[in-house]
Amino acid sequence: MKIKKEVITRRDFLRGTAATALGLTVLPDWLKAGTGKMGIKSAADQKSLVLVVRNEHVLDSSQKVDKKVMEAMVGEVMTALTGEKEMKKAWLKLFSPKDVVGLVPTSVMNPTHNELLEIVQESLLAIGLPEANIRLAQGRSVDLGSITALISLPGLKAHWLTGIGTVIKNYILYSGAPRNYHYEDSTKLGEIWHLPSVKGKTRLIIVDALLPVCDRGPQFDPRYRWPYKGLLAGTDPVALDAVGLKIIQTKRDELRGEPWPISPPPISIEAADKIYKLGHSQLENIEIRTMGWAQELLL
Amino acid sequence: MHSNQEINLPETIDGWKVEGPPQRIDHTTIFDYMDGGGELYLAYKFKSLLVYRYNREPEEEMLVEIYQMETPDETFGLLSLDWTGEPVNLSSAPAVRSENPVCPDYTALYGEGLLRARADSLYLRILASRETPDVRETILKLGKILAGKSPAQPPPAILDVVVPSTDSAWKIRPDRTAYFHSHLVLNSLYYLSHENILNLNHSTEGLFICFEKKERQPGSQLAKLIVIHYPEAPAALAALTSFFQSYLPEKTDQVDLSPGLLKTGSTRVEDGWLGWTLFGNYLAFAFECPDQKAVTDIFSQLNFKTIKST
Repeated sequence: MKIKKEVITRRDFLRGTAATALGLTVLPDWLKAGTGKMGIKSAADQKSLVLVVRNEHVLDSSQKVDKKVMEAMVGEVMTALTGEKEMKKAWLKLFSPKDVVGLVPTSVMNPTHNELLEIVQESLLAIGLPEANIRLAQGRSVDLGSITALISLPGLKAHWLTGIGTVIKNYILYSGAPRNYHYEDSTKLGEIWHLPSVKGKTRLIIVDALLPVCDRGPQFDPRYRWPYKGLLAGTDPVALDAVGLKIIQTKRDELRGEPWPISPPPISIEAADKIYKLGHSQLENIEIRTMGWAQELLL
Repeated sequence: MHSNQEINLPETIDGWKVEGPPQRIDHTTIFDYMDGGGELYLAYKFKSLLVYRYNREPEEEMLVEIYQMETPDETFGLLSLDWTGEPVNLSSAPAVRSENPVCPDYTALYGEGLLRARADSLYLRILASRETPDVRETILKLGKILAGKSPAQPPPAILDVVVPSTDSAWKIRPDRTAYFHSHLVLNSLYYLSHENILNLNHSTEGLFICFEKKERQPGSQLAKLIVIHYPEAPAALAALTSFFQSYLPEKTDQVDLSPGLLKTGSTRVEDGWLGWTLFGNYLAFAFECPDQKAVTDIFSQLNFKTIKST
């Protein structure tokens, strides 16, 4: 009896062959034919930029957000991403007053802070977008057809079914069938980014890492939330998840004083890189630019 | 207290006021309530959930979740997923602690505004939006209302298969012991495969146990033991066969997977020695052992005969 089932196991991760196994078992036919043309990922020799901006004063002792401090942090991000020091010019480099922009926060486990949503909304209003053209776009019933640009604003957190539940997973409800993307099927989360109504629309990603959660959940446990007081930003969803994962994993190891691997392994990150070509998952292909408060950076 | 239908929490307590009648959740609505988190409770034979919300000025909230599970074993399983926190006694009787070398005997754990507890077939989670000493007091009061009169429940019988040996070089880390049924839960404890390669389901019971060397160097690896009890011997053999096909395909034609009471062996893989032993309807695996002797040492602390055959 010599049957090799195409099953991904712990050994595939230990050997570094998980991505190969994934390619064999996951890639749907419609993507197999077109992998060379998906064109979201930057060239192999071009590193993805991930910005990590932190400020120790963004939260007070009762963990309330100082909006002015957060506004300055968002400003730092926008300047670093666009090269523009003047905020209106910076936002206008990424968005036009004619855009219809969908804001995609996280609503459960580690919800995105309202202050971040407000700052983004106010920035878009300031460059001339009508209020009606700035929409909350999280959920199953979002009219993505009319939206021309998405800003993903997830909270940084581990996830008990997918390992990490931050950027790549943030669009899971757009699939209409989130349960189809849990467990082993979390490898397929990247395909949601290729849905015609989603593909190419994400122009900015800001990860709310003020109070990340490093345990898997599924329900919130305050003992595993800590004041990182940061924002992660960029345009490469895979690189942002890879950097977020590094922060979470380092915090977990620190808490236990020994390796405490995220389990199950966040297979969606590697799959989003190797199969769905959404960005870079390997840290050597990511330029991490840190700004501000450097204590316990975990990178 | 055996059912969450019999519960009547106070309308007010310490300045907190309950917000309307409790929300009632069943297996058809649990995903609306907690999205993918519902899988965890379904994996532990969930029956229903009552959710009370308390409020106190200014902007303070307290969530009281009362999960009705099928048996006390399920509530043990949920609590066993994380033994950390401050052990608290919710019972009206003084705590009687019996030393258990396999797992902690805690029934309630508190930390930073979250109480997790088991009481008979109820699993409780009480979470405050902000922790202060008086909030802690209120949480514990509510916990005592819910759990104070519950009879003490033993851990699941499957734990009896583990018989720690003082002669062994390997000892159990009780704070890592967990009880489960589903491969989703196993994967959250120790990843084997995204697929259900051990054929786990509600009819199977599993234990995850970590072992450390008695003379352990800091940072040295823990060995892991997984024990599964299947409803009958052919199911255990089928699971061993499935495991070989998926996890050790290169060994599949080198081992005897024909019906038989006892099969045992070990092999070296990428992260150390891996051992397996099949005894009737029990199947056990040892992972990440530094050598073959460690596999033998760990398996020597199993006694399948201590459990009545099912």
